[in-house]
Amino acid sequence: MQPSEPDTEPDDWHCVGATMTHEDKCHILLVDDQPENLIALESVLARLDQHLVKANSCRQALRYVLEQDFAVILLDVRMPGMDGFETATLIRTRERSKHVPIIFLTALGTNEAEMIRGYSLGAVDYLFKPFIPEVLISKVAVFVDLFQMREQVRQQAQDLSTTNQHLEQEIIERKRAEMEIAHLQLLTRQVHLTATRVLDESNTLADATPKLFQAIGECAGWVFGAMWGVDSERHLLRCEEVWHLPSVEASEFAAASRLRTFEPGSGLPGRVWASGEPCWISNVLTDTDFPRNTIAAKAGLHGAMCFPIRLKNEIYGVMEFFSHEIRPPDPPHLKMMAEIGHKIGRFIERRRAEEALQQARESVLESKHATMLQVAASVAHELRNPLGVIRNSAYYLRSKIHGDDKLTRHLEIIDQEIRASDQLIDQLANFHKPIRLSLAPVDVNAEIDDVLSTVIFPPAMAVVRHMSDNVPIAIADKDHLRRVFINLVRNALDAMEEEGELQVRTDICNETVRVSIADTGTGIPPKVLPRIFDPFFTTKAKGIGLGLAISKRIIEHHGGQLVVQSELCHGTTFTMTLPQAKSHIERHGGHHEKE
Amino acid sequence: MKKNKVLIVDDQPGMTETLADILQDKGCEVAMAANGVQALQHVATHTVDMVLMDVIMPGMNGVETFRALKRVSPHTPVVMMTGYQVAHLVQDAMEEGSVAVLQKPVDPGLLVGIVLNTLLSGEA
Repeated sequence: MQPSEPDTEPDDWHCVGATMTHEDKCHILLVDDQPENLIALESVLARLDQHLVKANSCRQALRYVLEQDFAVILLDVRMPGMDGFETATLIRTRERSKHVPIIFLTALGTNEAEMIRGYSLGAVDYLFKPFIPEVLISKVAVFVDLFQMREQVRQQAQDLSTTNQHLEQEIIERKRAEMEIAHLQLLTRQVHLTATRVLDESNTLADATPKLFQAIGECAGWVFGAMWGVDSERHLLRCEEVWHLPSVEASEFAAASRLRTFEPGSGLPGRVWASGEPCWISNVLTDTDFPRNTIAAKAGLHGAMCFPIRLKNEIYGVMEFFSHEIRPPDPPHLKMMAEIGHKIGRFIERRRAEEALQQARESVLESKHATMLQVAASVAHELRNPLGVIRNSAYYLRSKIHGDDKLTRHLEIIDQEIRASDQLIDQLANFHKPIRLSLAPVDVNAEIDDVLSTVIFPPAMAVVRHMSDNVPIAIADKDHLRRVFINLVRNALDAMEEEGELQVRTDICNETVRVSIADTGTGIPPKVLPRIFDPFFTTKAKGIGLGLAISKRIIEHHGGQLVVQSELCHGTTFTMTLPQAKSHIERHGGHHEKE
Repeated sequence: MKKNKVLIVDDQPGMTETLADILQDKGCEVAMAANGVQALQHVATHTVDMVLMDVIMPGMNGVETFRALKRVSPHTPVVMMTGYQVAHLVQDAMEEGSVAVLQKPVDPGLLVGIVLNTLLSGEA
């Protein structure tokens, strides 16, 4: 046994230890029944800076071997009881320690046969007592290095496998992200498509709003929505519409939103209005400027998203959405919503332009009609006087020509034409005057039959009556109503010329009396159809085009409607609705004046 | 004493002339005035048993002429004729005692009847 000498320690050993961390130290098992031998070994090997485990019997050594992996075992050959060889045999039989290198410690002069036995039992080397410290260290160090290299390789293999696992995980995650992006793109497209479709199919934003809420809510996972419109007079945002999934109980939040207004910059809608930028709040309950947070908490609303509806030079309003769950910001989603906001803005601008155009068109048409009616009325008035003079002359002449049949007949013709002219003048002069209705219950079936009885039909024309058995009693002005019937029947006859079928139908529908008069005539071209109720519009060679205009006015004064359906070559149907006399009192009561 | 002097006041010469011929044929003595001033001048200088007057005339309208005429000759019956529905004028005329207001176009037969009746009832 040699005392250790730190001064003579070669740098190599030092290096081995220096690169080791505490965890990297390996274990070396020292087995000897002589404590002084163990101390000697320990003192020499301490320089290696490894964990030295000492056993003073074979039994103890075997126990350690079970518990621990060793870089090398230094085993004394001669020990009482179980000797070194027997111990080595046992160590080799155990799986964990099968390959642990064993260095036998033995006295000098061990015979060759014994050494061969040792090698056959798995010894890798022999050390002879007393040890030369450098030899001892050198031999042990080889196995420490070997162990450590093996450990390193094992560690690297493990690292590699971990890296592999990470890589695989990364690939899976990337794939999932790609799928999410694809899903979002799909969603975006879906929301876009739905929103576009909704806008295309709607006439006004009010029509579109509920459907937009539903489309965005259902596609993008929002459960509550609110539309805020700018009140430009008071410079406030006002809630115009709320929406929520049917399954969501948010009536208090809805009511609170409806009652609220926001100034620019305040609350979620106010902030979006002021900035013109969309905004996302993960959790409104922790937001510093969300005044409705207590009621939102009651409704279980957390995540929120809000985007502006932009017009060219102004912000029309904002749309606000909420989710139950706390929703981390989702920039692509928000961007998509902002685009939808732009789309809605463009929709509003388009509709406004169309409306303005339509209004301009209508007002031009209206003023054109008004001018025409005014001119017509004043011409009509001016015609009354000369007509009166002609009438007087004819009267005078008739009193002078007793007995001359031919002259009498001509004077009759003059009178006839004067009467027809008077009627025309009345029509023109009275068209723009208010219609005075003398309302009373009218048996519609009876009046139509009466009108039909006064009309002379061409022989090849059939009249088909589908009259309601449930006698339709309308509240109407009988004389005006008859005028409408006469106008429509005459129109039908004109459309069919010599042959065809006039169909008259009456029934009661939704508490109104409905009358339709249909012909099997030439039909009205679709281009012309919208104009047929315009005053002075006519396709006939004869007539001034006031019949339908007057008829429509009369029916509308009754609170009813007169509509037309027509198919070229198949015929035209006019359908009117009139208020129904509901009670006994109305049917038998007095007349009502209506202007 | 037979009353048959009728004054026709109308700015339309055709109207006054045809009415004059018709009424003369029925035995009336007819005078014509083309406006309110002429009518008043005529009444001031001639005996008139009744007046037929258009409501709408240039210058003095029929109702104004009617009022002035009532001051000069309060008992002369006046029949007004109007082509327009000039509601306030017509109402004024009725309230102030015109015999009738006829809506144009006036049927000549009806007019003859009214004139003859008015003249008859005016005879003592």
